[in-house]
Amino acid sequence: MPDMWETARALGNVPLIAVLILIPLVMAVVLNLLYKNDKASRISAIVAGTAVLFLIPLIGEGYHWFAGQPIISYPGSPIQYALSLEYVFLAPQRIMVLTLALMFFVTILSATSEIERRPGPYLGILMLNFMATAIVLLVNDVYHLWIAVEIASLAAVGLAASTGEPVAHNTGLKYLFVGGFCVALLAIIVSLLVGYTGVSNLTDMSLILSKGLVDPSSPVMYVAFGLFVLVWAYAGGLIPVHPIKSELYRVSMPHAAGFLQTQSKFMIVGIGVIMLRLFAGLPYSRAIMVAIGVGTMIFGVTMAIIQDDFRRLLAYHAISQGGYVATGIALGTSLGIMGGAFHAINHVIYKTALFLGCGAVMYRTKTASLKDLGGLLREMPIEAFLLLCSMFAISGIPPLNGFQSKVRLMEAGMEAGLPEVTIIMLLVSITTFVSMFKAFYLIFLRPKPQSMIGKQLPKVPMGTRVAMIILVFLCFLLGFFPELATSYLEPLARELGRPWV
Amino acid sequence: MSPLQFWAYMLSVALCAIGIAGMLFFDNLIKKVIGFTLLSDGVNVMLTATGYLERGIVPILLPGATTAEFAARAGLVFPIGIVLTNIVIGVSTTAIMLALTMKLYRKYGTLSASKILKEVR
Repeated sequence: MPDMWETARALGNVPLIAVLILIPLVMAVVLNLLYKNDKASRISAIVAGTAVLFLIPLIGEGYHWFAGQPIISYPGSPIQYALSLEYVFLAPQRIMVLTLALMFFVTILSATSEIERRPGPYLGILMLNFMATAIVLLVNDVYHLWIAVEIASLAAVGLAASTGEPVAHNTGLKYLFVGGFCVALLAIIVSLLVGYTGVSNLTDMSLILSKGLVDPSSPVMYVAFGLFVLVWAYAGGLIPVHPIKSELYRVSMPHAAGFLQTQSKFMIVGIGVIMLRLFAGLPYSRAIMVAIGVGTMIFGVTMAIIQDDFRRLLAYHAISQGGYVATGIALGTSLGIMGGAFHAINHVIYKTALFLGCGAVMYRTKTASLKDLGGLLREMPIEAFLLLCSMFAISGIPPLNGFQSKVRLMEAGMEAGLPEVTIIMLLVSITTFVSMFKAFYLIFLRPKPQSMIGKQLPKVPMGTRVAMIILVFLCFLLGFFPELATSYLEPLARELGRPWV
Repeated sequence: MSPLQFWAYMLSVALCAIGIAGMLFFDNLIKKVIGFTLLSDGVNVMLTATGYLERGIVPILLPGATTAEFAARAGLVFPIGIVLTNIVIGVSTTAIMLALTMKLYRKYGTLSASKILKEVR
């Protein structure tokens, strides 16, 4: 029976898939050219964000071939080869790219209203980040995967460094060194896999492996898997690479941090799915991935609870929640994959709202230090309510979306016969609740510290407030109607889901 | 694997190892960047070796050649394509690394990673 990616070949070539990538690519160049004209930069970025958002529902399901050659049948070969560089756009890709585009749009809204001077280059880098992440979700060949991870790495540094602070430059440089190493590993993986299977297309590769045309458990595959795990950890901010990722979130502007963590979550899903397609048959491969996911949950939340800076606290929670996504995908069961991908969608929504809320607090008070904040409930009641809802969502409290995906992930742990994983998820969720409400109390409920009394605070920009309202609305929407997202993810879960052995 | 391919792989392993060691053990930021470029070069040599085929033909389907003959004798074109891209991306990455190094040098007056880290903290 043909797999999900093979069926896309029967649906035809869809040029609009390439347009989805071309719009941000062209706009990245245009926005840099427009850097002297702030108004034109803002308008162009909002138009591009809107265009991408409205384009996604219009794209038909299918594939897009860049090389364009026909499928080749060799005499005596049991499979047909596509051999091409290919994007695949089916229901799971649609919902994930749509969520990504929505986060992209709200980030543009917030950035255009908060950055007062020369927003063009920053918005251009944001376009590249969107493009690279979308490619990782759509990609069906190792070449595009490698390029996308490389561009994402460079663009992430660009976003962080755009604050202009020396600490951001230092972190950006460190991230580039780690990124340079991991992307070199990815090039070695590509070299190994292409050299071993003779093809670059992931469908061709997985067919060659599943039909036993090459030994799927040869040492080459073990080495490729080992290196892939490191790349997965780097791109998704998982252990052992999580400190550099959390530092990157911490030094970035809050809206940039929101988008960077969105990128990480979708990288975990995109690269995790590719790993399941190629390496699920290797003994212990899923167990190693689960261990990384669980470790990330624990490390992330342990670091988060001791932070006294709101932005840093959110950065570590972003790492911890990435662990949930990774664990779900790594379990490799239908429910696990569904839960992992759904949690990625939910997480990026409420975590972006939290980062934007943090940005609103910082915009007004010029600090994110929990020691220096307090008594903001009267000044920012709307933002306080929106932040509270997002905190409920990240803590997995019903009826918000975080509850829906966490309950699926916990069920997946039980179903796989790993109750210890479920217990850890539950404990991490409780710890998240505690640290979030500590932060809420310190920012909004406790009396104002002396340093803030009598200070004239600027108003929160309307763009940031609107963006937060949209996101919190989505938290409730997906909390009440989870099938709006899960129905799209079902083909992916069905296709890749295998019982945990 | 031909002897040429074997020695190319050995060279690439050596370059990668020197590059990684340079990135890890040198304190000077410029030397770290040089380590990164050596790593990138090592990967390029590995990719080129992967695409090499002893007594192979250029991977272009020339008039008169059959698909079966092409499939049997053509060198892998894909790794060569990656090498070209890797060179371009390597230049971009190095440029950004050097730009950030310059920014840090202007701010802290040193290229020592450990001293900069102390200052930042």
